Amino acid sequence: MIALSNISFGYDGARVLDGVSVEIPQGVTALLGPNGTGKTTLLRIILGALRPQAGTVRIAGRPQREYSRRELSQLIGFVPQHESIPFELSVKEYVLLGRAPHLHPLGLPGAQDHKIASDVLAMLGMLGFAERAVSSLSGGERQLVIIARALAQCPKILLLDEPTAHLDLSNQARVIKVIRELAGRGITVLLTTHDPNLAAAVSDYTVLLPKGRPPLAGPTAAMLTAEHLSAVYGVPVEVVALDGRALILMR
Amino acid sequence: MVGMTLALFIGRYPRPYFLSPALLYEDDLARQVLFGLRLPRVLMGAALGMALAGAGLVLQMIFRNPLVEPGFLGISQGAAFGAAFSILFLSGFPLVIEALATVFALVGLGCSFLLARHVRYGEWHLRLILSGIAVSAFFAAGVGLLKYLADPLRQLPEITFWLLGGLWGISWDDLLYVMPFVVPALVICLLMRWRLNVLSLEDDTAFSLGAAPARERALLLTVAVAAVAAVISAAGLVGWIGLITPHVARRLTGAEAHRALPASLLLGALFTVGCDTVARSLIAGEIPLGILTSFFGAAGFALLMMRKL
Repeated sequence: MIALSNISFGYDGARVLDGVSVEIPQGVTALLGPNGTGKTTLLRIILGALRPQAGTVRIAGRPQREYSRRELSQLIGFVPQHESIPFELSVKEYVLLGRAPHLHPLGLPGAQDHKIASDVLAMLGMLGFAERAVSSLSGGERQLVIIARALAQCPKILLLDEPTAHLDLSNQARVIKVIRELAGRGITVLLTTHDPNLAAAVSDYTVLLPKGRPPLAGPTAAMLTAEHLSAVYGVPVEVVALDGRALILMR
Repeated sequence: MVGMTLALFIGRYPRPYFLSPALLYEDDLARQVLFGLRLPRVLMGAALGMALAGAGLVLQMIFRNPLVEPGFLGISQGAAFGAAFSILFLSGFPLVIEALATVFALVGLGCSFLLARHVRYGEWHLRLILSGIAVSAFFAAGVGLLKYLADPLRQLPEITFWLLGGLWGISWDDLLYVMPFVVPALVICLLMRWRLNVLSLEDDTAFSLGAAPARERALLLTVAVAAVAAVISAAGLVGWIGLITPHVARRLTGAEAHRALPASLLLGALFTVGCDTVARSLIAGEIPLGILTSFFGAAGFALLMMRKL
């Protein structure tokens, strides 16, 4: 679905990504690595918000630069790590903003847009919160509302930057369940995380992004091994099988 | 409309505080007062209030900061400096004054923004406010210097006018110079009012929603600043409207700009026309408009702060 070829990028001369080539298939892919290895940068490059200093991005078989901004926004939804909403919008008003890619810049959302926003909220079990202020929600509810805003774009690809950071266990479980459901609906999900256990819980495919070395990519079960993770994180790691899933522990 | 019509009949002619509509049929002077003096003044008051309140809401949303208003970001002081500079060195012709006021208002905003990016402490909201205060003070010093250099009989009274703020002496001609800036600016802001919500989100999110954040924000900022500069060049420095009105509008309609912007424009017009009506009617002499807007604006702001912004 997404193919990155020889992507390089740096900030103020400091190289963050150096010739990264990787393919992201359909399903859920975790972009896993320690802090500062360029996970968010890579996500922003796929989004189109950053232009790589070298290399090309292909989305659904077409070079990214051939897409207009509007086409890209209809194709890709984005959930940032921190979404600050400075004014007190209601959940419905905020989710409706996800319809912007389908409207003229001077347009207003119509009945169809309201219906899509309500459907997305209903799908995430948040319809009862529609009239509540976003600022009054708990961390988990807020994260689901941000995902709802991105889903209101009706994207084929959803990029999530550390989607469970700062969430407690029950809210992490809620978000993981939603991500799996979205993949079941045919949406390609790419999420960044520094937590191997999240990658184990949610992803079909994992891209390991070590510092200063080429990425390793493959099915999650094959990637989350003690050998790979110890090398990527630079600490001894043990991987235990639990109910058919990998559980990663620091030794 | 009701408020503006009512304001036309409130004043000190032929006696304090009300002019009977019946008098318009029999008194030439009453017609002259109403159509020649009060009507352009009320319309200018409405334009002033709408421009400041609209620009206030647009700036607050674009800078994602509920404490921003034209007066806090070097825009108003920049415009006053531009107007004073024009009077002193170029021309007192209204269009030249407006052009210079607009240019220096944009310079003031740009300097505040650039300075805020280089301030080394505090979060963005605080940095922007502090930078705006510094840039405003810089332009205020410039205005002081221009006053010092001005011809005390010819130029000084004209410059002093901008510092007091008021609508006395507004004529139909003034409206002719101001409206071509204010009306298109407000129409553009109104047309983009839903988009404003998208532009109030962080850059990456706004981008992911198909917006060109930098370009669209620059367009809205330019038209908002042009409208503010135009009304300031006609009415002088009138404070607090741009800060307080958007807050009250959000309280009444919610924060979504599709409703909050029209509400803010309406409230801005009502508040300014109301204050100006008091300014010209309460006592025999005229109270400078800026004093009244500051008094009621500051009182309202204090009340809102006590109840959470």
